[in-house]
This record gives sequence, C-alpha cells and structure tokens, in this order.
Amino acid sequence: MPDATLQSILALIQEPVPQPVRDWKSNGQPVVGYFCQYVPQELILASGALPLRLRGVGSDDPSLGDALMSGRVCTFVRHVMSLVLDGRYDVLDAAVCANTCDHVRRAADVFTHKTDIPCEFVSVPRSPRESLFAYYLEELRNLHASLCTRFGTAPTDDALRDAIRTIESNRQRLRALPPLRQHQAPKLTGAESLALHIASQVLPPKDFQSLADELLEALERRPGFEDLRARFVLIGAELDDPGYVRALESQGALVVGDQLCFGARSVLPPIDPDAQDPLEAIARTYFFRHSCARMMGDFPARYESIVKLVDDCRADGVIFQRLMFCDPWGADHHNILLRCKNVGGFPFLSLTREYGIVPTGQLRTRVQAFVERIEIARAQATPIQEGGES
Amino acid sequence: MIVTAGVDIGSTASKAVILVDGVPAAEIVGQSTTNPAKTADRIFDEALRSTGMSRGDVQLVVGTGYGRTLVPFADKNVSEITCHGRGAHFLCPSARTVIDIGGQDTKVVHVDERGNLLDFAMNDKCAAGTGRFLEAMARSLDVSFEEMEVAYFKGTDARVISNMCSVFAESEVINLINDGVPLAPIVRGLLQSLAGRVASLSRRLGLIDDVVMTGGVAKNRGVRDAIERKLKAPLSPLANADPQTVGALGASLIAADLVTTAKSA
Amino acid sequence: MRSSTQMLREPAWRELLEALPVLQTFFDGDPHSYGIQSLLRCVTSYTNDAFAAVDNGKPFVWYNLGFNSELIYALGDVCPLPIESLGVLHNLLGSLDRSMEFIDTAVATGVPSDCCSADKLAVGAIHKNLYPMPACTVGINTPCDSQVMATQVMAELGQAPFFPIDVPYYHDDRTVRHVAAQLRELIPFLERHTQRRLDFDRLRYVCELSNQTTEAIWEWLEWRKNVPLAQSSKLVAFTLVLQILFTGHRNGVELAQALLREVKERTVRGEHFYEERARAIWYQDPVWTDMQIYDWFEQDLGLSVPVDVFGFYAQDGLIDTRTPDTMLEGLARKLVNCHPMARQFRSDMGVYIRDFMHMHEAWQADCGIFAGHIACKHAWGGIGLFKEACRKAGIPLLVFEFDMFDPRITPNDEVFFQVERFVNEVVLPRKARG
Repeated sequence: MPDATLQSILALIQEPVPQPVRDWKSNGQPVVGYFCQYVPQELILASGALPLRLRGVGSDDPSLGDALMSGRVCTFVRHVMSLVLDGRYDVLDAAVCANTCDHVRRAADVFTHKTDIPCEFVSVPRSPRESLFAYYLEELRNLHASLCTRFGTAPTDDALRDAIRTIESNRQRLRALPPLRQHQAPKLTGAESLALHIASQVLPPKDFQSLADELLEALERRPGFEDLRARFVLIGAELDDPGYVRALESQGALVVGDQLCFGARSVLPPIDPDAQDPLEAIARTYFFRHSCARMMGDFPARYESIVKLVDDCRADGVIFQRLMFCDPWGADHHNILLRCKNVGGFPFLSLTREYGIVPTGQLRTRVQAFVERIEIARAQATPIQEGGES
Repeated sequence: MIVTAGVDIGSTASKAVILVDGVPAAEIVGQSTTNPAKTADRIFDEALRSTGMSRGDVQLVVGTGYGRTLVPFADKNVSEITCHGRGAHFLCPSARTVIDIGGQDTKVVHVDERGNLLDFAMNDKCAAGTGRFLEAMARSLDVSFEEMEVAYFKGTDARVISNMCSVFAESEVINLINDGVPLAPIVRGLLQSLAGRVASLSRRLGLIDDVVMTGGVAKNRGVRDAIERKLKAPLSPLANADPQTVGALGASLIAADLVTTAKSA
Repeated sequence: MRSSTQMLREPAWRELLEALPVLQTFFDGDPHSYGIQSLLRCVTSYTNDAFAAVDNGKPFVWYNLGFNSELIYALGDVCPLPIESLGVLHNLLGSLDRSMEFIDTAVATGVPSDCCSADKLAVGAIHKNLYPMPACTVGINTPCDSQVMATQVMAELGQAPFFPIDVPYYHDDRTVRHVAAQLRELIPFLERHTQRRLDFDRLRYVCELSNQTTEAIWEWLEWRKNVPLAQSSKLVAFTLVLQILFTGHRNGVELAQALLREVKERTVRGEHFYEERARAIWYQDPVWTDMQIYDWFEQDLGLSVPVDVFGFYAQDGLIDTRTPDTMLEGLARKLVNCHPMARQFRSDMGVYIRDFMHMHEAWQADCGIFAGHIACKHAWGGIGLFKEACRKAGIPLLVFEFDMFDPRITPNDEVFFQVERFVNEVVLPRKARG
C-alpha cells in the first residue's frame, strides 16, 4: 500500500539532512547545499557532489538567524540559516546561493562571514530573454568549474551527460504524478505529491528513485479519492511543508495541481544528454523554464500557465500562499487579483504565512469558507466574482 | 413545522438561535469556556428551555465559530464567514457587505441577493481592530464598554493613538492618562484607531452597499460611528436583532435550507 | 489621453501645484538657501514641462527609482516619469494624508502591506490614474525586490510595452558591460514606442550635463566634510532625487551647482546657526515624512548629518563622451557602481559596510544611525554584520525601526526620542572621553 512508502518518505524529509545523505557523505562523497531552482542540480551532481536543497525543516527557533538578519526578513531563509549556524547542516562541503531575492542574497553573506562553509554565488538575470542568456551560461560555467576544482573532479562533458540522465530519471518518475492527480478521482493528495517532489531534491538519486518506484506501483492499486467538495490548484512562494498542504486539504477538498518551487515546478522538461554542449543545454532549459515570480516581465506567461493548469486539472479555484516579506510573489499577488477582478479568471483564495507555522484553525476557517463559496456557486451555476484577498 | 438550530462557539462568547419556520424563537448569548463541547451543550439547552422545546424537536443543528467542530450534537459545521453573511442578509435583505468584529478576529464578507457568500477578507493575526483591542483598552482606562460609548460622544477632540500594535497602544494610553489627558479624547482616538483597521480591511475587499455590522462590538454606537466616518458610508441597521447572534442565526437558516432540500429530494 | 486641465482637477495634482509657489515664497525669504530654492524651481519646472507634454501629446516613459533619466532625455521631447514621484513629492511637501491615501490604495489592491512604502506610493498613484499613460515602461531590478514588485505592477497597469533591465550581483567590468549591452538594447525599444530617434550627439550633450551634475555633487560633498557643517543636514539626501529625475537635464546642473554654491558660501562666511556637538552618518532611509526633523536634531541636539546613504555618490560616475559605446558604458557604470542604494545593497554587505566606514572617516563623523525603514529587507538582512563591524571599529551605532514614507509606523517624536537618547547618553559622553 502507498501509505507505508509515503510514511517513509515523510519521515526522511522531516530532517534537513536525511539519513541517506549522511550515508552518501560517509562514503567520502561531497554534499552541496543550494537555495534556488535556478541552480541546476545536474551541475552539482556532475562535479561529484550530491545536490541538497536547503530547507528550514526541523527548525523551531529562528533566533540564530534573527540575530544576524533581524525579524524583518523571510522566515524561510531565517530558519535555514538558523539550522546552518546551529551546525545542523554539518554535512555541507559548499553552498550555492543566487540573487533569487533580497533574502537569499543576505543568506550568502551569513554563509561567507559566519560559517566555514564555502559559498558560491550565481547571479541569475532578472529577465528570461535570449540577450541575457549568455550571462547566465557564463555564471553556470564558472560555478561548474569552481565546484570541480573544489572537489578535484574533471569538468567533462561526459560527467554532465551522466548527471543529466540521472536527474532526468528522477523527473520521469515525477512526471507520472500529474495524470494521477488530475484524474476525476485523484490517487494522491497534494500533500503526498509535495512530499515526493521534495524527496527528489534532498535524497541521493538512487534512494529517491527506489522510493518513487515503490510508491508509483502502490498507487496503481490505490482507489481514487471520490466525492471531493472542491479541487484546487496551489501556487505561490516557497512551500516545503506537506503539513501545510494537508491543512488546506482538511475540508474535503484536494490540491490536484500546483506550481510550487519545491513541487511541480521543480520538474523541468527533458534535457538532451547528447547535446553538443551539455552545459548549455542545461542552462537553456533552466533559464527558459516556467519562471519564478522573481523574473521581471514574465507575469503574463505565468498567468496563462495558471489558467491552463486550472483547466487541465478541472480545478474549482486557486489557492495562493505567500511567505510574509516576499516581495516578488507580492507582485504576482497584486497582478493575479487584478486579472481575476477584471477578466474573471478563477476563484482565488490568498493566504499569507510564516515558515514552519501551520495555524490550523485559521487555515481551516479560510479554506472552509472558500470551499463553501465554490459549492454555493456550483449549486446556483453562477460564476464567482473576485473581490479581494483573505 | 421546520425547527432548526444554530450554535456559534466563539472565543469570548457563545450563541445559540432556534428557528421555527423561518422565525427566530430563541436567541441566547453566553460566556465561552475552555471546553467548547460543554459550552455548546449549556447554551443549546438554555435556548431550548426558553422555547419549551426539547432536543428531539430540533430537526437539524449547524455548528459555527472557532469551536464549530467540537459541538457534539451538530449535524454539520459551516464556517462563521458563511453564517454571518447569511444571518446579516436575513435581517437586512439589502445587505451586500457584512463587517463582523469578533472577540479575536475581524472579517468583511460580501454576499449576493440571497445572502450567499461571494468573497471575504479576514484579520485573525493581529488583535488591533478586534474586540480584544477594545477589552484591553477598557481595562487600561478602567471603564466599561457602556462608559466608553458615552465618552466617545462627548465632544469632537481625539488623541491620535499612533501605535499600530495593541500592546504598545495600551502603554500609550497609560501614558496619556498619566499626562492628565481627559477620557473622551482618548476613547475617540482608540475607536478611530480600531475603525481605521477595519476600514483598511474593508477596502481590501471593497464595499458594496448596503453595509451592515455584526458581532458583539457592533453594539457599541461609538464604534459604529467611528467606522461610518472612516468608511464615509452609513451602516444599515439589522432590524432590532442582537448583532452578536447573527452568526448563530445564519447557521440556523442554513440548517433550515438543508432540511427543506432533504424534504423536497 | 487626459489634458492637463483634466489632470489638474485631481486634488493630488492641484494641492501639489498650489503648495510649490507657497514654499518658494517661504524659502525666498532666506536669500542663501540656494539648495531648497533650486529644488523647488526644478520641481516646478519639471511639472510645468510634464503638463505641457500632456497637452502637446508628447510621449511619457515610466520607470522606477533605480533608473537614471539620461537616456530618456536624450530622446528629445520625451517626458521621463519616475512612478514614485507624486507620492514622494506629497510627503516632502507635508501632505501626508495624500501619500497615506496612495499607500492604502496599494494595499487595498493587493500589494502586501510588508512591501516598501515607496513602492506603495507608486502603485497607489498609478491605480488612481494620476499619471499620463506611458508610451512604454522601463523597470530595473535595483535597488531591491520591492522595487521589482512595483515594476511588475507598472508593467501590468501601464498597458504599454515593458523593458526589464537586469543589474547582476557584482560590481566588476563584466557587470558594467552586461548592463551597457542592455542599455544598447533599450534604445531601439524606446525609439519604437516613443517614435523618437535617439541622436548620439544629443546623448553626448545629455551626458555632458550629467557629468557637470556629478562633478558639482562631488565638490558639494567635499565641502560638507568641513567641521562644523555649514549647510542644512536635510539637503544631503537629494543626490538620489537628482539621479532619478534631473540628471542629464539643465535642472540637474542647476540644482547640484546651487547646493554647492550654498555650502561654499556658508562655509566661507562661517555661518553657523547652531552649535555642532556631534556628526552622524545617517545610514539608511531619510525621514521623508518630516524633513524638518533634521532641523530639530541640529537645533536641539547639535547633531548634524554631513552625508547619508542617499547623498553619497561614488567616484565612478563620470561618463566618457567620446563614442556611443563609451557613453553607454558610462551610463551603465553609474547604475552599477554609483546609484545610491543600488551600489550599497545589491551585492554583498561588504560594499555597504566599507562605504559606511569610508564616509564615517572622510566626513569626520562621531557615530552612525541606522534608521531602519521597516520594509528595507536587504538592509535589515545584514544588520548583524553591520553592527559587528561598527562594534569592531568602535563606532557607536543607533538602530531603530520606522517607515520613511508612512508616519503611522513610528511617530516622529519617537524617532527624535531615539536619536536624542543616543546622542546624549552614548555619543557625547564617548566623545568627551576621547
């Protein structure tokens, strides 16, 4: 049954450094922590290191991070840096930060000045257009060369190709999930899907693939969830807590699709391992992928992708969650609301959150009211007009 | 005869309404305790006693409020957002925007011409702008809510309370008292501060006429006046009903709808 | 497009235009306050030009405050419009109710309340349809993500083509070339949508004006190193205003030279209208809600602010006007290495800290004041490192929270109290102990 596998996955991802990562490290292989989806896993893997996506899970007290960064900064970053400063990321041989946002930039400062963990930096252009691609490519070449020098590996195309194949193998398994979720009777919850996606970014590939195969096989035999009160698409900022999604799903509705950075958005299109320049192929796929809200000028494309996802999932509405202090997603929040009001896009529930806190009572009330709204509109066959945030 | 009930378990007060063929037959308000299930039993029984009915006479009960899932005899639970919208619309059929200031949250709700929920905005993260804020200030000033209302309407001066946080606002109030500032301008400043928060939340959702106010705080005429001034819009009356029972009323109406639907199915 | 007469029916514009001549008269009463007089003249001149542009159907280009105005002026009769301008002007002129209205409008339309009030001012003004609609918009990612937020809203509401400029994390020549290439890319975009040609001779003239402005700013800041400071503290923040809107225009030269003339004359005359007891580097956002607070610091505490982070202009801002390429590179260098806030915050905290240490020494300061604008996340995110550096250097540092455009966060008398306590209980006793 999938439940047992899911429990294993959930147990593993409760730790910022899951046991299989420690096993990898104890085999003498390096581990590199990274913040952002614009830092390719393939590059890190090709340098001989395990890419470990940095998370604040297991941190119940951000005070170490707060002392350096204040309470006016993203709680996700503060919790991550608290774990780093507390030695909970002791396996790291290096970290890679990017100018994803103001907060991750400052995390790079903490790595550099307050830890012994060498910190690499990637400056990702703010607009995904062709004229800026060369800069991003150069940044990735520099990163690749630097990591290889650090770990004494040769920066060969063959190593890159192997890494592409390995990560693609991870993604192939994840690509099996949307049909299972979008089904009339979905076979797994949004929380379960997120857990598996997170696992692909924090476990050694072999460990992840074995668990994913086990789960996918078990899901074939699982009956689907029937009689859903509503189907939702979940979008927004950094969210790596299946518990939060579980709270959203506690009112008889299901998250049948998402565009989360730790979730479905981590599944990139296939990269050709036989491309003449594999590093360029990696860079191109990452740079021109479905963009994060930090990318300027790309909101129209992001909005259309939400509309398409709502359609594909036959969703009744969109839940948007934003971490407090997140300005890039603040922009998308305003713009989505504007379009929903003006052109009647989709029913929209907006939530602001702090990392690591799941305020079940408050969440339940909001989600329940949203579900009730949708049920009322469905019963009366009237469209929902959007007003403001919740 | 259709007899239904709505039980609203709030953080500070709990309410029960018994509805008989669409007419409220009992409306009870009582103190909440730390045991929502016991509070629900007590308030429901009190409501029944006042009508001479027994539990068996009630065909369906809907629970609402923060403690709604803990009402042991409820057949269904519905969010207080939906219930307040429905209840307010019953009392004022032209109502399209409902502002509810509760003990520890504030919400603004849009309803359609049938009282159905269209949209909502909520503040339940910060005490400023909720009943808690007023309670704390009344304590600092050592006055009752009624005395606050009287003070509000004395004169037009108001001392602006600059602190956004209700904890620091309390310190600010104490400083003003120690500086010998009279009660009336302090109270006006406090109620204006509360009204400002409520107005800000309302604007996020937008105001559609007519606007009504529910919740215990709505009984305070000073608060109503301050909110009307901030919104630059009048608040329509809710017949002669107790605004504190609107959520429970809405729950009982929803229960009646369910009974009617089941009968015609 | 609305006419200027229609725009003037908006209270927000009417109040501004009524206030300007009143303030002009007030400051004309002091014949030596060239700086403020010039600022008021430049704002009046810009506003008159903008209204004339509206009536004559000239194109407008919207942009955010991380950008400089030279390229737009080089197009000829195209009007640059920084989207923060109307809200900021209302703050400076004291009509805080108006600016709070803009802020509240932005929040009501979905901008999170934890975004910067400068950007809420911009979004609020746009939502209220107070600006002439643009031919196109330009967004730059500096100085911060809240600005990026404003550019995305601008792109959505401007209903015009949008051009994003990326300034990378670093300060090196590669970064300057990357930005220069984007400015090169920007030119045909601007030409296409404003239907104007960018003439490189006119760009040369604009760059020469920009250079004259920069040289005047540098000389002005040099004079402000004198002890005691002979010119008002509050004027120093206007370097940023110059770079956003007036650089590349005669107004920029006039304003910079007026600031310079004033400090020179006052210093030479030995004019001091208070006893300077301490000097602070105001190392965060100015108190735009009440610039008179600096007069209060001077008169009541004897505290002067010879330079601040908005005023400091790094020595990399001169444009080589020989060729189009050198001019574009010069303009890029200004954006990367000189523009206040973008220079200090875009990269690692080392730049921020080193600039502070340099300013503290060069302007002979006694302390630093981190006036922590609450939404300034890239500043607050480095506060621990900044405090440590000051402790190591033995520099007293005051840290407090406020909002530079929203007076509801920390009232001004609370700001004054914080500074007063710091000066009287920390700075002066330490100074006395030597």
